[in-house]
Order: sequence, then structure tokens, then C-alpha cells
Amino acid sequence: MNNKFNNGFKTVAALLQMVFLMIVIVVFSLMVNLFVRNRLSFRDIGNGYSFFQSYYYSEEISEEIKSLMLYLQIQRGMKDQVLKEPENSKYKLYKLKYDSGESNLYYWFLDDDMIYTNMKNVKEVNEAIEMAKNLGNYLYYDDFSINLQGNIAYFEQDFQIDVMRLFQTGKGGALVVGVDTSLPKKDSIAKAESIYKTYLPWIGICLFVMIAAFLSFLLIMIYLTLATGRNEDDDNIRLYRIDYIPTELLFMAMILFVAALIAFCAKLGGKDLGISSSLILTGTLVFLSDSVLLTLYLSFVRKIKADQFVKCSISSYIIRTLKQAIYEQGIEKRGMIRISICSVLELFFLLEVFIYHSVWAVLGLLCVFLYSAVKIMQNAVYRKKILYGIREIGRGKLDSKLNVKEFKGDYRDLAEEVNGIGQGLMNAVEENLKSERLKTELVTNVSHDIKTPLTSIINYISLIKMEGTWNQNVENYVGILEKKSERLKQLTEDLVEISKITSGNIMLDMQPINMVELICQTGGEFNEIFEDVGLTIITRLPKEPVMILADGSRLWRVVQNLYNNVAKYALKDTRVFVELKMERGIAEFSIKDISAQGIHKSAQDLSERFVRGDESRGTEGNGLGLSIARNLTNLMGGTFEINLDGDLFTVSITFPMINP
Amino acid sequence: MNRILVCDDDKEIVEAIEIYLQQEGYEVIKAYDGAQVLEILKKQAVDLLILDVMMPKLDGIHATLKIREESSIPIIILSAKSEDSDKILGLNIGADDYLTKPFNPLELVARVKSQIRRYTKLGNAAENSQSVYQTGGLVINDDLKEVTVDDEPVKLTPIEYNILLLLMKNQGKVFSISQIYESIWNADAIGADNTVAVHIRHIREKIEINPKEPRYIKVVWGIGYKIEKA
Repeated sequence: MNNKFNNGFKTVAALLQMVFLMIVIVVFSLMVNLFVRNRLSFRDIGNGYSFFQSYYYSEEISEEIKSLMLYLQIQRGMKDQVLKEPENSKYKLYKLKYDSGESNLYYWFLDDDMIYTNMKNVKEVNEAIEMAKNLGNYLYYDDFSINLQGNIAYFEQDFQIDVMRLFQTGKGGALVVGVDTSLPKKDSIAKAESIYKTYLPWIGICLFVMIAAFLSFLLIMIYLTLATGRNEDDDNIRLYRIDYIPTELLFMAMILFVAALIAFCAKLGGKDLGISSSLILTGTLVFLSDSVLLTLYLSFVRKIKADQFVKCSISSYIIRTLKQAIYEQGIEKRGMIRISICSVLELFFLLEVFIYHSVWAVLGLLCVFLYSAVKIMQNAVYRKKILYGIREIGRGKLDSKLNVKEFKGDYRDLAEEVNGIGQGLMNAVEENLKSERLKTELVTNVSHDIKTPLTSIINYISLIKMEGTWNQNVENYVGILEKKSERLKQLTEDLVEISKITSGNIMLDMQPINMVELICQTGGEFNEIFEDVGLTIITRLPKEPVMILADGSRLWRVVQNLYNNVAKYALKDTRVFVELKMERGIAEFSIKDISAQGIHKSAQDLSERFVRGDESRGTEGNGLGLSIARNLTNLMGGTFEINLDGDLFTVSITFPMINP
Repeated sequence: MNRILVCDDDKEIVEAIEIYLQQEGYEVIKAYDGAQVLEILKKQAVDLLILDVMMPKLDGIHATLKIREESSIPIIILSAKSEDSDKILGLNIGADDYLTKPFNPLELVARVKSQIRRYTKLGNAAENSQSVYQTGGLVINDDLKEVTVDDEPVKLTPIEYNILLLLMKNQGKVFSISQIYESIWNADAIGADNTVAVHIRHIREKIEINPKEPRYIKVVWGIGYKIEKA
């Protein structure tokens, strides 16, 4: 495809994805922490209000007023009866809070002609209202006109009802609350203001970071979704090992993991941890769960891409198997019926046993089990036998046949087919042998047809020579004709021989043979030929006989070809080394000579058909000699090796020795 | 003058053979298939038959079988089939010699001569003496220390003569190089070498028409040498 899907990118993306997700989760949990701890109000995010305009302030002040009202109720109750616990301690707490002069909140409460206030020397409502207005924030409720006014923002809807409940109906009364917005006292409102001022800008940043991180996370997820399974080299979807786990199992794993995660979080939720330790815990959890869930998610994505989501699942496997069983029921029909009957019987007997506790049902169950066991074992035996038959065929015993009568049911069909394979292979082999025979026959026939005209050529050349009295040139020409016709004769004979050897169409007469004797005999045949071309043979032979199993006349042909080869191609006036060695039950014959012309062929090529060491066409030989030698040696169970070291040409032949 | 019937479906070959045989003083009758051969044999007496195998109408093998039913004239089969099995078949059905195409015409002439001599001489071959050994046309007379092939004397060196005598006395037996060495030189064979093999080749060159396809001294490769029992 291209390199935007390479593994480096994918790894980096996975890491970045985790980092961003971590940021999102950590920042989110931080903010949730702040809100849950009532440090801030959601609605203040981003509106840039000052403290006294904020929702947070209104929430804070509502709480204050509610506790103030509670305080007022307690005070009012004190005139009728003595305070009991816990009202008494609450009263003391509130008194300290609102009446010790350390509060920025001022109140003036008139009810039932009683005045409760922390504004000193204020007796009139108007005076109180005036004073409260001067403080900055104020609230005024007139019970007579049921009118609530003030400049404190965002009161909750039901605040007025709460206030109304404070008054004893019909008596007329008023509540004036004022907040000193310069906050000279260090009370809870001042504290809330400092918190608001400290955290609000951070909240904005946090939110921005969270959104940015979340968007990046989404982008990277999109990239990963596109990239997973793809490779830089090809367009195919690569599946990993995990992707071959059935889809259901992966789903189960995911559900279990998520459930465990939720359970764990729920357990933790109950405990109150510090902000820093909860952050660390959150990070760890995110890291862990992200690795697991991302892996699973990407696996799903890959599966869908490779069209394996459904295919590679347990249910699909079961459905496929069932489908096959239904479509090709012929194969295992009997087996299916047997299994069904056994299952029904087992179910029936089991019911009998467990519901009616009947004894004969136990016996019946035993019988069914026994029958199944016997069937299973019988099938195992059949399979083994068929396997054995196939193995025999595989090892080349094509005529081995299974006894079809030993098999039953589907296994009989199988056994018949196995026998059919053997027969088919045998036919193919025969066919092949036949074509090899035909090839050899063709070569033989062609060579016969060549031999007849060649006979005339040779005879008439000989007649021309007998006529004599030609000039020198004609005599030379006739000489060439004579040589060439001789070579043609040799060639046709070699051709027939090589085609027979390579097609394995010769009969070998394998006898115990003394290699030493054979080499001496060959030496006797060749010594004058070698002397004529100025070659000296150095023969090194063991004193005792070296016995091998071979066809003597064929082995002679091999050695003869090697000697002929030397006579034709060795450098004049050099030595030829013939050696016979015995080593660990192997007889090795080798012949070494120095080539007259540089050999530009590989050792392998030299024993191929029609390849000669020198490229010149003028000399004798047709290139079949070494090939015939090699093939004959191999046919007789020996090895044939040619070695070229510069101009040093070595042929070695080995045969396993036998006891004399 | 001996009369020779030459039969081959290739006219040029027949004519070439005719020229060679006429040069040697034989009278030649020509035929081009097996049926003609049988007809000619009915009409006139022939001393030797040269017969091709692959011919139209009646092939050489069947012709030979027919001829052998009533006649014992020497037959030389001439064939392009060079397999051992072909040769064995030809000789088994009654041919006296088997020559493969393409052949050396001089070798053919030599073989013709050899066959004719043996055939005409067969009557008085009863020179049965203890010291005369014979196989085919090869006769060795130990009294006269004389060797003849088809009545032609052959000159052998003493060692060659002794080797040939050893093999002729024990026809059908295979002698290894060291056995030959020990009995001829009356000494233990020190090590293997070519000496015996070279002598054998020399003998072959002297007594065989074609030393590469010896009729008398056979090489049993890797075992030794022998002279086939007649």
C-alpha cells in the first residue's frame, strides 16, 4: 500500500492514543472531583462572571441563608422552651458563626414582633434594608406583601417557599439579609470567593485540554481503525494470532473485563481518597483497561476488515458444520442416525433413572454406552487400517489393497476409494513406463534407419579408397569422410545406449567383480593407445582383490569411456593417474589427467548429454561418453563424480564393497 | 569358385558387398528379400548366405528358420540391430555369424572366408590327437607348436602361445590375471599389472578378425579371460 501504515506509525499512534485518553480521563476525574466536593458549579464554566454574579455564589449563599433560617428557627423556639440536644449544639455553632461579628453576612429578622439580628442598633425595617443595600448584596422579604426582592443572582425557585415557611402566618414580618461584598471577615463566603478565584481559570484550561485531548484521541482512533491489519507492503489484511480466537470468546473477554472494571470502580467509589492518590489510581486503571480494550477493539476491526468477524466464530463454525452435515448427509448418514438414536435413548434412560429411579433403565443406559464405545473403537480400527493402506501407497507399494469386506458402512466406501487411488497411480506409472519405452523404441528405430544408409556410405568410401590413384587432395577428403562416418556410427550406437540407460530399459547382470582385475584388463586394452598419444599411466592398486557387485561388461563400458576420454582430451606427454582406494567398505576408483585445452564448462555440465570439455568440433567423441558412464554407474548403485581443479580433471567412481 | 548369395533390401549395400566379394574371387548372387532367397536356394547350390534381418516379404530371421529346415549352409546375418539379445537370437536360430551394420567391408570378407573354409573343411576335421585343441576355426597343435585360424597359420610369441594353450586346454574356464601369471611364469603374482592383459590383447589382434568383438578369447570383465567351449 504505502508507508503511512507502517508499524512505527501504528505503535506511536497507539501510545499517543493512550496518552490522550489518560489526559481526558484524568482531567475529567479531576473536575468531577472538584464539583462533587462542591468546590465549583458547572454553570460558571466559561461565562467569565465575577464571584458575586456566579452560580457558585448563589449556591453558596443559598446554603448560607438556609442555615441562617435554621438558626433563626432555633432562636425563635427558644422563647417557648429550653433547647435540647442536638439543637443546643447547633445553636451554639450558628451563634458563633453569625453573631460573633466574624461574618460577612448580616441579617435582620422580624417575626411575631420579635427582632433577631446581628446588625447592631437597627430597629426599623427600612433602616435594615438601607444598611443591607449599602453592604453590596441584599435580600429582603416582606411577609406581609409576600414579596421577595434583592440583588443576589440565581435563586432557586423554591427559595421563596422556604422563606415563607419561616414566618408565623398572619403576624407580619420581614427578613433582611445583607452580604458585605468587600468581604472584610474571613468567613465561609470569603473562603468560597478565594476558591472560586483560584480554580475558575484552571477549570477553563482543563476543559480546553480535555476537549483537545479527546478530539486527538478520536482522530488517532480513526487512524488506528483504518490502519490496523494493513501493511506497507501489500493490500491484504494481516491477522494476528489473537484474531483467530473466535469472536464470541473475544466478546466474552471484553464483557468480563468491563464488568470487572466497573465492579472495581464501584468498590473504589465508596472510599474517599485524596486527589493525588485517586489521580494515580485513575491513571493506572486507564492504562490497563485501555491496553486491553484497544487490543480487543482493533482485533474486532481487523476481523471485520478481513471478513472474519462472523466466519471466525464458534456459532459460524457450528452452523457450517451443520450445513455440511445436512448437504452431504450421504457421507455420514448412518453415523448421524446412530448418534441421534443413541442420544434419544440415553436421554430417555436418564429420565427414567432420575425421575423414577428404575433399575432396568440403568441397565439400558449401560447397554447404550457399551454400544457407543464398541462403535467408537470399531471406527478407530477402521481409520487405522485405512491410514495404513494410504501409507503403503504413499511408500510406493501401489499394488497393496485393503480388504474391503473388513469394513462397514462409510468406511467401506473409503476403503474402496483408497484402493482406487492405488490403482490409478499404478495406471499412471505404467503409462509413464510405456511412454519411456516408446521413446527408447523411437530412438532405436531412428538409429536403425540411419545405420542402413551409413553402411552404404562406409562401404563406398572404402571402395573409393581401393580405387587408389587419386591426387593427394582427394585422398585427404576421403580420409575425412571415413573418419566422420566412423563417428556417425559411434554416435548412433551411443544414442541408443543413452536412451536405454536413462529410461532404465536395460537388463543388468550383477555379479561379484574384482575391480583390480577389471582395471588391469582395461590397462591392457589401452596401453598402446595411450603410448601412441604420449600418455603415461601411473596405476596404484591394492594388492588384494577389491570385490564389488556390478555388471562386468557395463562397468567395462564405464571405465572404457573414462579411458577414452583421457586418451582424447588429456595433454600430450603427461601422466595419467589411475588409483583404486578402499575406505570404510567403499571402493573408490579415480582417474586424473591434465586437460589439453581449458575447460570452460562446469563439472555438472560435463556429464550432461552432448557436452564436451573442449568446444572444438574437429576431434573425435560426441560428448555422450561421460553421460553414459555416469548413468551406468548410478544404475549399478555407484556414485560418479567429476572434479575440475584448473586443468586437472578428475573422475571418481565409488561402489560399496562386498565380502569376497 | 564359391557361390555366395547376398540378400539385403538396400540395393547399394548388396552391390558394394558384391564388389568386395568378386575382388576375392567369389561368385555373387543377389537377392532383395527373404522370399527371393528361398526361391534361389531351391534352384541352385550356394556355398554361403549373407542375410539382412529387416526386409520386406520375409525377414532374415524367418528366412533362416526356413533354410535351416533342410540346409546347413553357412549363414552370416547382417543387421542394424546391435543389441546382444538380437545377436543371441540370430545365432540361436541357426546363423553361423552375426555382423552389425554399419560394418567394415574387410571384416565381412574375412568372416566370409572363415565360414567357407570351415564349411568345406568340416569333413576332414577328424585329426583327433591328444595334443590338438580346437574351437571353431581356431586350432592349436601342441606337438607342432602350431596355431591356425581357419587354416591360416598364426605367429605367436612363446608367452602368447602358452597363454593361448592354457585357455584352449581349459575351454569354458575363466582364468584371472594372477592365475594366468602364476601358471605361465611359474612365479607368484607380485602385484597386479597390465602384462597379462597386454599379451591377451596381442593374441586377440593376431587370431581375431575384429579384436574388439572377439570370437575366441572372451574377456570376462572384472573376473578374467576364457575361451568359449565350442
